[in-house]
Formats: sequence, structure tokens, C-alpha cells
Amino acid sequence: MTVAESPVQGRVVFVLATPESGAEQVVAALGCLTGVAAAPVPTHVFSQGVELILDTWLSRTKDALGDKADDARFFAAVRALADAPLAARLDATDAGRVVEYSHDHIRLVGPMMVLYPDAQFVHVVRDGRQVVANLTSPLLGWAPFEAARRWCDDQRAVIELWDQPNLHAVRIEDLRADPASALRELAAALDLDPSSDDIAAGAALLGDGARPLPDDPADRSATLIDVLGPDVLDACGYEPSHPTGLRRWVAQAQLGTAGEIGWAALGAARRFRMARQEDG
Amino acid sequence: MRPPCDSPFADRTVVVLAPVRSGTTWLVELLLGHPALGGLSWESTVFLGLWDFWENAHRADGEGVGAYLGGDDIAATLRRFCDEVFANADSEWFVEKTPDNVNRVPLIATAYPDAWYIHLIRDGRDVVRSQVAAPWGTNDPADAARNWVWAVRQVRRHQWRLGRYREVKYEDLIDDPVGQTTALLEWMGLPVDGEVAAAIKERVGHEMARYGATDRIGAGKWTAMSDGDLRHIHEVAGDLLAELGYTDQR
Repeated sequence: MTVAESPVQGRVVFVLATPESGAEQVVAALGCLTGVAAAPVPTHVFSQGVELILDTWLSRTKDALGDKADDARFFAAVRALADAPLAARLDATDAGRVVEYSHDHIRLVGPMMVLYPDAQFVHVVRDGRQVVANLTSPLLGWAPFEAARRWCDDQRAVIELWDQPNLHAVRIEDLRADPASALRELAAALDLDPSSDDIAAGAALLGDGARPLPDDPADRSATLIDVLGPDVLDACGYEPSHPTGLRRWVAQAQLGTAGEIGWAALGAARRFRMARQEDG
Repeated sequence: MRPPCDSPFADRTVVVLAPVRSGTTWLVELLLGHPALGGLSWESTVFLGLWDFWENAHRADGEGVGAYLGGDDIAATLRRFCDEVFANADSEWFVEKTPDNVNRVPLIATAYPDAWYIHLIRDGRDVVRSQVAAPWGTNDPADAARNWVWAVRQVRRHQWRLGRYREVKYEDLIDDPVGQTTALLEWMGLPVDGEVAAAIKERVGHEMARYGATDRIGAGKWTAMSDGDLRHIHEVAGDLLAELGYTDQR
């Protein structure tokens, strides 16, 4: 099967974002546009499927095939496999396009763009300082250094590909500030021609400009991003903060081995405390 | 036992299942004496590669491809993918052999309900001896014995999923390689004439996957193991050895 023969050829929009970036809102807003079906839950098909298939191909299966190994033929088979859930969603909804978001797909943007040269990709960016604040909140409980590294690594992986014509970056803050204009602009980039009603429905989901997202990252998380990813902040158009020398030093310590050990010790202490509480 | 979708290998896939160092490479070599059968030069590991997708399709949180594809669709998707890989062998039939497949039986049975499954069983003491002597893997007889028990039990645990299933003992294969291979081919509906039998016989002497070993090929080499190693093996694998009839003593 070639890309041209794919049942989803030219019909897929992949949304790429670090968790807590607002990607689900973008998927829902795009799903309001006539002829577009949002995938209601992540497929995880690249992060829990294609990634291991490709790893196994490169490290083992290709050797087993020897002279008969054919990358193009294999990638076509992988494409057919990954197409299956997307084609099923299109069939079930009679839509012309399907929009999919899985939170771990962003780090696989390279292989995704190779397998889906005909797809459109939307990179949803949110200020990393707020993303880290959310990821490290008691709700999700990520280690600060992990959250900061994840945001920086994710954005860098996609920023490298920003010059690709089928990759479109949008800042969630801009979408929330003026959803109608930003959504219309994004739809045009995706070759969609939504009606005013479609745009109004999507804009309503994004708060109609009246419900801005929280913007109060804790200083500690903010400094991690300032130390680890000033280039990413700059590329994405976010104003860098200028932490004091002491804050910068503390952030660097958190991002190093000492921070990892400290976090592990804190986690162990927390689990010990909880276990004691459970024991009464 | 119908394939989940149209398939060039409908009723024409053979899956050899066994723990590592059980003689599967040799058995496949013998089977390939039949001109209709083909395989890859090494283990395809295709089912290992699909394991994440399989787990994705069965996520407990309701996310993943299982939210979009029913069981039949998942089976068909897996089958089409594997068929495409197997088609590289350019043969009417495909023989798949990857030791890790003992851990993937539910997946394989879903994609290939129409396949012919051969479970090659070898005396666990010989398997352990061979695993420990190999230049890779564990050097600990108890570990190797655990691997053997796990693998054999995994296949037997899921045997009910395999409509076309046969167990073959390595020791019987050693005693009569042409007869045992012929019986398997005929079970699969493949005629064995004099020419095929001669081709199998010619392959009997091929040394496969020896990894530099120079000792004789055959069964019962475990008798040269130390009492301590054998004690470790029996502690782990005594029940299964007895269950399979490997009760002879040194």
C-alpha cells in the first residue's frame, strides 16, 4: 500500500503537545468544524505501537530479512497499521478529516512526519513555566526537573521541523485570547473552510476570549525553564524572566543529580508517611 | 480456523514454538526441505515488535486503538501487517520461529488462528545445559531452568487458543528426523514424495545455531552436568520434567 492508496490519505490532523498544554481544547474546537471528527480518546498508536515496531525493525527484523529487507515496503505496512484506528473513526463519523492527539506523540514527530507526509500537524505550545507548574502540582505530581526537561525536549523536537509546510505551531494563549480569529487562521492553514457557525462553536469551547488560562507559575518551576530552555522560550515568543543568581543556582542544582536524589528521597519520605498513616 | 482477513498465507503459516536452545532452528531447517515452505534467514521478531500495539489494543483505561477497532478489526490489522513482513520470504508457506514467541501466543493466535503450531519440547536439563554453554544469556542453571519452565508452561497454558497444535519431542526428532518431519508435513496437508524426503535427509546433518560448540549433537548431554547444577535444575523444574516424562537418572 502506498500513501496514495491509504484510506486516510490527506485526511489526518495530528495535534502535538506536551501534556497540560491545552491540546485537548484544540482538538475539541477543531472537532466543531463541519466535516472534521475529533478522535475522542488518544490512540497512542505511535507511542504504544509504532515506536516498538520501528525499533524492532531496525534492530532485528531488518537483519532477519537480509537482502530482501525493503524499508519502503515495511513503512507502508506500518502506515497501514497506524491508519486502522483513524480510518475507523472516519468511517464511524462520515467525516472528511480526523483530528488526533496523544500526549506522548510529540517526541515521535520525526517518524510521524515520515510515515504521514500527507497529514497536517498542529504543534500546540503553552508557556513552559505554566506547563511545569501544572505537571508538578499535587494533581499530577511530576518531579520538577522531569517536567522541565520534558517541555524543553518536546518543543525542541518540533521546533526543528517548523519549516515543514504541513506543520503549524499555535500558542494556546493566543487561541484563548482571540479564539475566533486564531481558529479561523488555523483552519485555513489546515485547508479547511469552516462556516461562521463552526468557528463560533469552536471559539465558545475555547472561552470566547473571556476565560484566559491561569498564568501564575510558581517561581521555582519558572526558574527551571528559564535555566533549561531560554532558547525554547525565545523561539516560542515567550518573554524570559530574569531570576536572581541564587534562584538560578538552586534551579541548576534541581536539574542535576543532586535534584534527582533529593526528589527520590522526598518521594520515599512521602510514601513512608502515607504508609504509616494507613497503618493507623 | 479462518484467517481474520484475506491472506496470502491462509492455512499456510507454520509457527514453531519452544524455549530458546530447544532445537527449533534445526527443526525449521528440516521443514524447509519441502519446497513449498519458506522462512527468513533469522528470527523475524515480528510479534515482539507488535507487542506494544497488542497491549495498546487491550488498555484497561479505555484509551488506545481498542476504542476505535473491535476485536475482529484488530486481528485483521495484525494479520495484514505480519503477512506483509512474511511475504518477503517469497514462498507459498511461511515458517515463523522466534523463541520469544512463547510469550506472545495470545497475539499470534489472534492474528493466525489458521496457522499450524508445532511445540518442540526438549528435555529441560539439556536445554539448561545448552543455554548455560551459549555465549549469551544466563550462566546460572537455575535461571535457565526457570526460563525453560516458563516458556513450556506459557505455550501449554495457551494451547486452547491454537486449533492446529502438535507437540514434538526433540529426542524423537533426533531418533527419526525424516519420519518426524514427514509426519508434520503430512499433518499440514503437504505431500512428501521421495524427492522431499531426500531433501529432508540431506538437511539432517546441517549444524544450526551451534555458537562455536564442538561437542556431539544429540540428546542426553545433561548427564555430564555436575550434581550441584542438576540439583538446582530439579529444584526449579522437577515437576515439569516429571510431567513431560523426563524422569531418567544419570
